[in-house]
Amino acid sequence: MPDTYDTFRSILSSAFRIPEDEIRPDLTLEQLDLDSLALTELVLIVHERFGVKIDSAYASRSTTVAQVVAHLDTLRAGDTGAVASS
Amino acid sequence: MTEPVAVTGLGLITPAGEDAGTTWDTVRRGAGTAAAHDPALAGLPVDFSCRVPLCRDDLDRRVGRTAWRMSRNAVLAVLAAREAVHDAGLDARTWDGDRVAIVIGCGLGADAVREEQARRLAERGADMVSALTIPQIIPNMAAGEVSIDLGARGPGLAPATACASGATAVAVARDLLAAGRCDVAVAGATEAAVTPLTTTGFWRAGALSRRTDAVTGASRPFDADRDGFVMAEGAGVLVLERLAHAATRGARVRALLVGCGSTSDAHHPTAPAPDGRGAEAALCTALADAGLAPHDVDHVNAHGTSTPANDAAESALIARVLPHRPSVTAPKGVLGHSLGAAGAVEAALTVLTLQHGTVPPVANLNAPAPGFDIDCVTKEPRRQDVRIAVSHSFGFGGHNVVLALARAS
Repeated sequence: MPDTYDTFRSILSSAFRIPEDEIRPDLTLEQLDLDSLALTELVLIVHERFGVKIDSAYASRSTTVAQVVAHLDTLRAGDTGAVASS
Repeated sequence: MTEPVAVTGLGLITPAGEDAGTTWDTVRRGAGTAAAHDPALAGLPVDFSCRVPLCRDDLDRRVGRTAWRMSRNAVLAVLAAREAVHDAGLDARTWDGDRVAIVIGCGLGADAVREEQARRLAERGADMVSALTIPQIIPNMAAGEVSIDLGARGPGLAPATACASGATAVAVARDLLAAGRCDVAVAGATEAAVTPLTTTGFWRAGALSRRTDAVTGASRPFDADRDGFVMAEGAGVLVLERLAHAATRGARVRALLVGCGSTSDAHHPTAPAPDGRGAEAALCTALADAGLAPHDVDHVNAHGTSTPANDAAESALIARVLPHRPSVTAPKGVLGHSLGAAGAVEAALTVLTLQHGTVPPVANLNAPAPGFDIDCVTKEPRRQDVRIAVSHSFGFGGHNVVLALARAS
């Protein structure tokens, strides 16, 4: 889903005040300065925006933006056993 | 008697302006800031308020990256604290943070967060409650965020004495300096509690003006037609130092904090003691702390909420203890009542009164209530050689705090 990256980048920018031009697919969430509190908040915001819940393994500081986006695409396609949308 | 401390920096963000200078200009003109139809209060019996004239996005942009995790009251505190530190000529990047105290109080804290997250829990379940809920609603977090922002690692406190919190913070900071616990104290208070539940609670308690058809004139301290206060938000921060510390670094001294008095009514949760004994004791304690007599007081910054009970008790107190009729002003006519922040905001305004030799008028005071034998400044600012001023703050719970301030030279 090509819009997932743009939407995810928009979330990172609006919710955590990260300038969009500083967000790249290869950066980890830690490199974007997301701490444990921010990661928990990210899961909630993504849940609201995409209707799916990021698996805890992906809501980690070592995960890259690209990995989260791929995970979201998988979840949105409905072919995973991860937590279903609300 | 306690050694005076220097006020070397001020920071304000209020409905009257985004910094100390613009706030002072508006207060000096006596221009009311209440506005009708606050979107946050839509549909409530009282839906007007005094708001800081910046949207949340503008506020966050000024704070920077860390704003994402802050409640509105913390954002206001951080901005006011930065201004105060800059105004003092200090640099948080180079100072000895171990010797800097942060004392930032509040009356209520992040009530908007509490109300929103309670609604989410009730309507959408536990998974949809923000992880920021607790970090944002604990009443000390504004102090915590200011200490993080400034790299201040000395004592950190968050006094909560309702509408006296800001004055309590300044008094506590003075005590920390006097005890040698720090060399610089960043002291004040913040409030951003113009929320549906808080506003309704004050309305139910009979504390709010119901003048929905004429909101700019709703806050009218000491006026015969006053009927309650107007909800407001804001933050005020002062930088305090021992005189020797300020002198050593060549700091400009805006004014001196010469005395503090804090007492409790031990009478009633919300009503001031009818004989005003607690407030009088606070005033007399502040003057004694400063080595002053009542007749030394040139000017009173009154708590002046515009509620029938407060203004009656306070005018009687002023007339009784200060019968020589010092000038009186009450900034809540312009600013509304920013609850816990008010005492710090008004301490800063009193510093500016001393510095400029100008007493702002009480906004909307057209017909002083009969029997109020005090010299309120009305309509226009008054030029006055103010050498000694006191600032009153009183809070639910029966808290009384009076700060005595002196002109720097």
